[in-house]
Amino acid sequence: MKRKWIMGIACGVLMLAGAVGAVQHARSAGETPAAKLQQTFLEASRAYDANRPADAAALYTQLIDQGYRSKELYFNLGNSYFKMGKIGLAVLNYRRAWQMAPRDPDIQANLRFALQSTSASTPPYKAVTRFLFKCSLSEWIILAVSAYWAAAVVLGVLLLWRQHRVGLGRTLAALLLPLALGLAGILNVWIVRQAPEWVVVEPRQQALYAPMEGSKAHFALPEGSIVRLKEDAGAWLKVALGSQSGYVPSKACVPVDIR
Amino acid sequence: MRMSRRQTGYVLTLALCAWMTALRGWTASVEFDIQPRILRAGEAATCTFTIRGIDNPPSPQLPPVQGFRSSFAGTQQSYSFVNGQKDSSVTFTYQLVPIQTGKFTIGPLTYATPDQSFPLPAIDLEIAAPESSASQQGETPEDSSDLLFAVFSTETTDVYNQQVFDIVLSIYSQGLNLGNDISLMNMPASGLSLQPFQELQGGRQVINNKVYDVRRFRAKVQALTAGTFKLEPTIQVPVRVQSERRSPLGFDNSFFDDFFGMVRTQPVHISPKPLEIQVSALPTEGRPPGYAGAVGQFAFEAQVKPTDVSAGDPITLTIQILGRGNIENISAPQFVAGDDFKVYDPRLVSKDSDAGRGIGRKTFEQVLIPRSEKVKELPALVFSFFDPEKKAYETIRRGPYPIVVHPSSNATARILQAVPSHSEASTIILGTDIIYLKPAPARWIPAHKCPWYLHPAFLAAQLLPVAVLGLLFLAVMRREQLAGDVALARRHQAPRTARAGLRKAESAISKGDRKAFYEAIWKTLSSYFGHRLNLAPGELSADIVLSALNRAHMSDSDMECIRVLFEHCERARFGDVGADTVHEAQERGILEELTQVLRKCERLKL
Repeated sequence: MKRKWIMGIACGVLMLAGAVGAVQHARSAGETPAAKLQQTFLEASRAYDANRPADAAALYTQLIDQGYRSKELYFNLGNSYFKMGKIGLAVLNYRRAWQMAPRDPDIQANLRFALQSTSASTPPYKAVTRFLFKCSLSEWIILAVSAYWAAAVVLGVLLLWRQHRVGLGRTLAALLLPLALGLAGILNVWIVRQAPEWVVVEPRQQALYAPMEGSKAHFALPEGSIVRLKEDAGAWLKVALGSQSGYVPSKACVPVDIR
Repeated sequence: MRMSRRQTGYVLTLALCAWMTALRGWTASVEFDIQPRILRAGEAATCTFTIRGIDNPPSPQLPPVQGFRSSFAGTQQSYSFVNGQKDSSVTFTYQLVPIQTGKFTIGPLTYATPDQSFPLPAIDLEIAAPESSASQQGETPEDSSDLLFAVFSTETTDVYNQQVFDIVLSIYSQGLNLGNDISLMNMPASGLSLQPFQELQGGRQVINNKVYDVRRFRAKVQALTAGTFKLEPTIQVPVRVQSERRSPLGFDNSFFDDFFGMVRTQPVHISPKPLEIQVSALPTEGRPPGYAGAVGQFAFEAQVKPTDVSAGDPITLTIQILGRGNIENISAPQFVAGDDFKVYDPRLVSKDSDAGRGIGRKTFEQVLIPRSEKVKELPALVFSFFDPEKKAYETIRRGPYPIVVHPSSNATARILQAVPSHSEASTIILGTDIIYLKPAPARWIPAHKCPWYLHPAFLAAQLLPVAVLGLLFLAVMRREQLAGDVALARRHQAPRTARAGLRKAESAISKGDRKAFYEAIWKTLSSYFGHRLNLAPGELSADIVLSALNRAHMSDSDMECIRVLFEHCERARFGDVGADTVHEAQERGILEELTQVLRKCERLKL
């Protein structure tokens, strides 16, 4: 009887591993060799050091366009744009890097620095949201899924060996905390994405009262301002910054989320 | 010299008394009031003298009042001690009953105590004549618009675009009990921005010799575009009316009526006379350059700090605009400094506004950086607004502000990140630099359109624990069920034991062991029917089995077959096997027959 169970579980694990391997194999097909990527990255860094930030930005962008996304690429691309004086694009890439690694102090410092250089603002999130921003979406998912699997294992053991139910019950209850935290983190990202962040990449922008040229200005949006999208009206976006909202030309903004 | 505990107590008590006496002296006051001040003949008004901060105050003497008959109605005392402050008051109440119509003035009066006297202001009263006897007696029904109507009013109906102005809604009612949830419908959807209504102090008013209770509401309105706007809303007023059903306890009292639901609210719709508002565009003539849309009356101040700096050091310009008007839409005045300064966008640092009163204040901060020591002053700041009362543009100028700029002592340390001149937006970053590039990532992982956590394989894998737990749960439940029900457990065990017995019999045929064959057949029969009928090993017999099969309506032929099998087994087991010669075909036939019969038994409910 026990042997059957062990065999069944082993088969399941093998099938799962096979599926993951197949996915990985399919993904790896058509990839650029790592050495070539590394070389391009180094060329970009050399161009940056040689005070050719535009060349560096082009090379970093080339890597990103090939489908490689990492906090290092976005961070360095942000630095290149900053050096070119394109603060809006710098903020955009720092923010993308920050989404991948929200606790990275270098990213935080450069993002803050770029924002301060134009007196740009960020959305005033609540304390709970700011706390849940401490981890990236991937980290929250890993936490929630790990807690979920661990809780499932504990629950399974609890079903089989009920004589240990007190200890196992406590373990199960303890696992609910990381599970709830992970789910809260995922939910937070989902809520924020309902009004996704966009970055003003053009200088001297103003949010207008109405989506038309010549409309009255409502509030100023310095380059690099991170706003939240309320409505996409084609050529115009209705954006919010704190309690204020207004219309800006869509060509002046770029979304932070890359999906 | 040390004081005893008792002496200390005396000193503290005396100090407390002295403090309270002083406090009492500071707060002595007398208030004189009469409510209501407009009333019908036949109604009574209440006159009150409220005396605070005087112990045992003498009773005020209300002089004879022309047109009124007055009578003393009582005294009320109250004490309070809040946050160390004592407050005592005595209220003397008189009832005034009008005896003739007209306008009367009571006072001014003087309230005097042995120590001091208090002058009290005069109060005007108006007594309306009683209404016509016909309407009072209800012989002709009164027009409902006489009982309840509303009036929309505004200071001016000619306003300018962006101007903030008041509209006042007055609801007049006569002898009606109005609820609080008054709502406006059919207001213009665009062109005018209407703030929430705020209720003002109500009162009474005489119109056409009728006394009306008046409730007034005020709202701030901002004109958003030029044009003509007609306000002709419908106002829904909840009127509380007495239900015809009598109180179950027979009380004639509003408290009990309210308590037992005898009062119901009836919404009444009234339409005030339409109010037409003409919104004009702001004049272009005389519009100052840099005008940014402020309409109202504003004051403007600016402050510069510090005024003694080195080139490259930031100077903070604090701009404060306050006043009455469209403060929400006001932005900081534009600072025109040329190439002498690096100018950052102004930042709103605080905003206080009272939308109900239409006043507010905004404070902006703007960072300016002198590029060289040649700069001697900050240019003047100009703020313009349109004053709708004067119907003209006003301009306030502040500055220029003299500043002292020293040569930069360490220019390279301050201007760290220089960028090409064509991108002026952020050519100079002060104080520090951005952090240098990050090294190449350790692994180059291609990102795909579908992130890993949305991959179907990953999502499907998350169902695995639920499925496994579900199966496990069912298995455990089954195990527990079988553990608690022996008959059911044996019922499930029966086919397994039968199969094992049949396999043994097959083996015995192969070996040619006839005794073992019948032994296996017997074991198959006994274990199968023992489990199926939940019998102890010694209880099983052919009769019991056949009897059970008979109850389950098994066919006679099958029952006969089983009976024969039992007999064969009995004979074989107890020595009547005959020759040891193997009749393999015969035994295979028995085995097949037994298999078929057992299959049929499986379908029977024993």
